[in-house]
Amino acid sequence: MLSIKHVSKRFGGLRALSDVNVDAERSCVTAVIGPNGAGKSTLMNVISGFITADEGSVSVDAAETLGLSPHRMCASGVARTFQNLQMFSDMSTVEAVVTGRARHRKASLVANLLMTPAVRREEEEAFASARDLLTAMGVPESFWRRRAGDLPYGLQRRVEIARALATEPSYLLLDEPAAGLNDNESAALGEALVKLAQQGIGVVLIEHDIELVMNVSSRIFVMDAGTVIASGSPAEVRANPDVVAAYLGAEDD
Amino acid sequence: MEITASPSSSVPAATAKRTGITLSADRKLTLVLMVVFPICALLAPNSFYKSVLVFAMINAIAAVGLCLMLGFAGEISIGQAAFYGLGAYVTAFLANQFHIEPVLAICAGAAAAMVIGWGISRPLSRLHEHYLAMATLAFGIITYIVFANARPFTGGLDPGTSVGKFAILGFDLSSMDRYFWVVWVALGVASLLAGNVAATQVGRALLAVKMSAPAAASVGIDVVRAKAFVFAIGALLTGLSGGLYAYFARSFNASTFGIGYSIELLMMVVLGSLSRVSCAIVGAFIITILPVLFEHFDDYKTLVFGITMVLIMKFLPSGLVEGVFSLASRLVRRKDD
Repeated sequence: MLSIKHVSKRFGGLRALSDVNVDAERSCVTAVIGPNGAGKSTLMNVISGFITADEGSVSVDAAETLGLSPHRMCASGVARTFQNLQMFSDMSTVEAVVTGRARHRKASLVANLLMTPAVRREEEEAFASARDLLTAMGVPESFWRRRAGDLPYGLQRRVEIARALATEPSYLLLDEPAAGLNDNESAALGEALVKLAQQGIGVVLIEHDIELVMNVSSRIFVMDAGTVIASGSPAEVRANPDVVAAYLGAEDD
Repeated sequence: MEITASPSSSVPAATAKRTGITLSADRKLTLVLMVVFPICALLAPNSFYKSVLVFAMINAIAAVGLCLMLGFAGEISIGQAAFYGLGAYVTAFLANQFHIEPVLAICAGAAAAMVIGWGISRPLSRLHEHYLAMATLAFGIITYIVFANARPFTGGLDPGTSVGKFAILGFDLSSMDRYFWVVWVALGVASLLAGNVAATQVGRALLAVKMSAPAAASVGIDVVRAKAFVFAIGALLTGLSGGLYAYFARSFNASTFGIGYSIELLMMVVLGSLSRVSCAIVGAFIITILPVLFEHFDDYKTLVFGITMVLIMKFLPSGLVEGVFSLASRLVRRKDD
């Protein structure tokens, strides 16, 4: 279980997060929703190690991880995507995904510099698994050798998820993956996320697309002004008057 | 099996079908250069031209080091002369004081530069672009002042220092004809090493750090460590080049290791390529040879370098040689269509 307990974070006078409790199970999709400025992205950055919280605890499968640097968070099984694309634009698409396998490369630096047969084998394996991930995420083969930065926006989003999956995470944090996608793409993304959960990954979804969230999530946390105001199944959250007032009401108008 | 890590090529080679060992375009071009250099040496009309060639190859080793730093990891350094000087002085000091084998002295010089390179990368790891440029520039200036004033060790600006003849196990290799092959081997090893960095996940991690540090960290790449590595290997190669320079010049003073050399190195890489080892070697060649071709070039060097640098940065940001190559390959492809 990915568990966030009593996490608070201040930026100067602004309380970005105060006493936030969120937890996400393996094998299901957990969504965090809320209006702009609710603190969702800050929470995401705290979990993935890009921001250190002032108080509280973050643990991955019972191991405390608060304060670890991002690359160590990755090693403890948390992968993420970014709200604004962070693509390795000048690499080929397949290489961008291969880069995601960094933490699973066993060969030492010296072995790499000498390009030993073991390193060559590892490269072959990394490329094979990258191709599998690109196939799984529905990136057509004709794009694999293209410059990653030249791909259409929707495809880059999928490449970013494939890259995160290449780290073989236990938990996958997605920061607004459906932003900028059309309805079809968004629905396809939802299917892909459910499939990932079925494979045992704990998917944590931060998203504005309520349709998508309601369709795929088994648990939803609603944030507003840095606190969690409600949580529960999609039906429960939909029925919660606080949520309707803070967030969903504006959507329904 | 080969994976190009060349950011600017639109069609990265050999990622789809990879059976057997294929060489990237960069490696092929490097191989061609390694064959062309001995031919040039044979054709050189006199020992002066031969020594220019050897000097170009010594510079090329340092340029390959900077190419990894700037081209792959995006870490600009305007203080490379410091590593070059460190390599040269440590080599000379060990050879003069302890009379150790020249090859070992050069290796020790390179290792010393590497340690310093790794050491300064730590405080510099949070700096980017022009802040990093300023910091490395300052580092270069400080080491120059140290070189010029630590006279008991370096001989300062006057009288400078000198080393004996280059020899391996007593076999004299100091003539330009023989020393050429020593430098040739060193350049071969340096470009092989750099090529291996480019072809493996090590180079990919450096590129990742350059393109997006947050994304690199998010897939488990230790950004600080990657930067430390590239500073270490860049300093190692530049220190190696400095040690070879010590036996090439035999007698030198601190003025060799000023900011001028750092900027010339930067020019070599910018002129050549930010992403290809082979093009950096070509860049080193051009910058070394220009002053020989044009008699009064030294008078206008700063002006010409300055203007060329601005023009290249503006119109061919991936490097002049690189730009010409990609232009040529685009024309060829158009013909094929």
